[in-house]
Amino acid sequence: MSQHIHPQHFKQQSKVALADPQLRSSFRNAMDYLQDKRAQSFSEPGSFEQLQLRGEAIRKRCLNQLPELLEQLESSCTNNGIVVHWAEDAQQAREIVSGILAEENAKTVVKGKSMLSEEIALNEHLAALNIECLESDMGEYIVQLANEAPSHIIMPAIHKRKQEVAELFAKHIDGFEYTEDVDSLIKAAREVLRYKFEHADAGITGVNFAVAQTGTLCLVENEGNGRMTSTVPKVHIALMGIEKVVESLNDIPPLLSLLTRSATGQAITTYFNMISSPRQSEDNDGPNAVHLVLVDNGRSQAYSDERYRASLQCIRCGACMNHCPVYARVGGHSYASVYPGPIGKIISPHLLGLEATGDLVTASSLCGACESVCPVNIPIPALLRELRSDAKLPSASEQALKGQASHRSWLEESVWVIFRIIMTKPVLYRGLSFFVVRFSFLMPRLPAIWGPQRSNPKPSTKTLHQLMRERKKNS
Amino acid sequence: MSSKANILGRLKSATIESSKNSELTPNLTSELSACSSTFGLEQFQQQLELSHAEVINLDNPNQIEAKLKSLIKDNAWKHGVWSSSTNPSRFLDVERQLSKSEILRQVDGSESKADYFHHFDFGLSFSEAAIAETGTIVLHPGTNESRSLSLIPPVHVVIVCLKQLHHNFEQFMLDFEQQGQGRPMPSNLILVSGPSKTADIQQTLAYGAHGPQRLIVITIAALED
Ligand code: SF4
Repeated sequence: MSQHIHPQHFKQQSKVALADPQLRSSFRNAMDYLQDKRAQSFSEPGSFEQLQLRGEAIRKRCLNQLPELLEQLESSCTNNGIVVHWAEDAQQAREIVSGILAEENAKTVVKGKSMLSEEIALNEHLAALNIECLESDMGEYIVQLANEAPSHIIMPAIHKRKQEVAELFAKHIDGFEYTEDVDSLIKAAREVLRYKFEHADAGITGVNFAVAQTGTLCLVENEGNGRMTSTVPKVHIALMGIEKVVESLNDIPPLLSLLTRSATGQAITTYFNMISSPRQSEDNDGPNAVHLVLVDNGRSQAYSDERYRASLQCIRCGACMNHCPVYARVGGHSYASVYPGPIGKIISPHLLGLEATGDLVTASSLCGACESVCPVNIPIPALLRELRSDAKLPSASEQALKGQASHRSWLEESVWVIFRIIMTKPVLYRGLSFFVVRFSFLMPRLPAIWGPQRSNPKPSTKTLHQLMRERKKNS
Repeated sequence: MSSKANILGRLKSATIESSKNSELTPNLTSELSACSSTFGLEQFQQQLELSHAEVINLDNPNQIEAKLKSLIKDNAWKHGVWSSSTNPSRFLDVERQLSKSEILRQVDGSESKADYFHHFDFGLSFSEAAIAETGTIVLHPGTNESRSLSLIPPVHVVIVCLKQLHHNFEQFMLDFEQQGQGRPMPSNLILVSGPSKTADIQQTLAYGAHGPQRLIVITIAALED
């Protein structure tokens, strides 16, 4: 998964992606499909805005009491028999998970879809310990076979065509008879994964929401792999970012509705699984132990800065990337960060620092498509502008982001200083514009990047001031 | 200092002037309209069918046995596993019949993983509640039911009493909390809205990704509480 570690090469990676017509058509088709689905599900006028208002209010209210809710979640879970762990960073989170697995003597693990597990690079860590950790979400399974990273947070294998999936299965699944029929492909993977579910020692999943008052972990999915993972093995480990906690069960329905409709246009997913404790003495099945790992990994930094706290409202629906003109063209892997697209641009700087992600925050035309579809109303373009200036300038307050000012350029700053001086001194401004219009014929052809299909701009032979004076005189 | 203390310390020291707090929590509970059962049933059925579930409407519980027999025969099912309703008075007669069936085994916790993965052709259970707006059934595995029953066998048959039909998830949640009266949440509560599916390969829908390929919902209209 080498793609994960080079967000600083965004520009080169984008160039490669842009030159791949097949990849571009895969993304274009997928984005059109997802945009259309979402639009249909909010087709009633005002239905989105009304629900969005509620979603935003819930997320803001819960974030405002985040430390208290986390403490309440821990005590409710503990009362229910769920063991709660706290991890400050990726390394601690990985070690907690491998510690639990060692205690349970678990050698084979099935994993439901969890972006957080990608964030903490869990698979690589477990592989180094000789623990097999198999992805069980169909999309994740496909990218794992291909030794790639997910390119979308909801549809991990969105970049793969069925022919590529068929080739992968032919290479990796014993007895697979080559077919490009999607039903047969899914059936083949189902067989492999069912065997794994039956024999796995432990299951790992993410968490979509956790309810502080009741100690309930909620999982949203269509496939049933999350249910399998949290039901069949004897241990269930749930990984959760600390921002995912909500106050009460009543906060869940509007958020769930926003999540599924924004993500895939579904009124609800096939399964909504609420887990509040391990198997009780009267239960017929279920895991004997449930562990919840609460992971910070940069989130408290985003929390502490008022400008960035809104990024923690995210419910990971993926709508922003589905509507982003940049993401649709460069695809998910170009970002080389676990979270691609607009949401990735605003949270990756907190996870990886601005030095690595300085280019990501510039990869936006600030068109605002992301903000307009975000179910919890995160002002993504405004956050990007803040991050851009943090990447270039030292912090005005004591709090600095990791990598603050790491993209500082003296040349750029000098240009702006000169610009400011010229623009604020009328004598200088007039003198300079006098020369500029007279010598505009010296302007070179704009560099090739402007493109051969565009004509070179032709500067006016008079300054704006001159034109205005003439107009006044004539009237 | 422990990780917990460090994390909470950072969060607590970051308390932002939340003067906007009160305006952030306007009274925004949605309007809860009672579910008129005919409209509710129509919507319930429509949504389920949109999600590829099969819906069979029956007028009363006496018809269940014959329906099940014909399902078993038509599909050539050989082994099934069933669980009783959490509200036994509703389906006593049906349950008596089910327990006499030769191909059906009642869940008692002694079933092995292998039974679920390789032996049972279908699982049969009674739903805890249902939600019209999204075509959803609510399952409450626990004392009577197993989590595996509705998940691992290739077909899940579920019996829904229309008395339990709620308008939407929000209304269900409120009722559920009220009925629970402060009792802890059950270890597992599941909303199911169709057979297992995926669109992970080139956005093409395929059913039976990991869970049941078929979900058969039998609704019973007339039932006294
Ligand atoms: S930022 Fe908004 S649109 Fe993007 S994933 Fe998060 S919630 Fe969805």
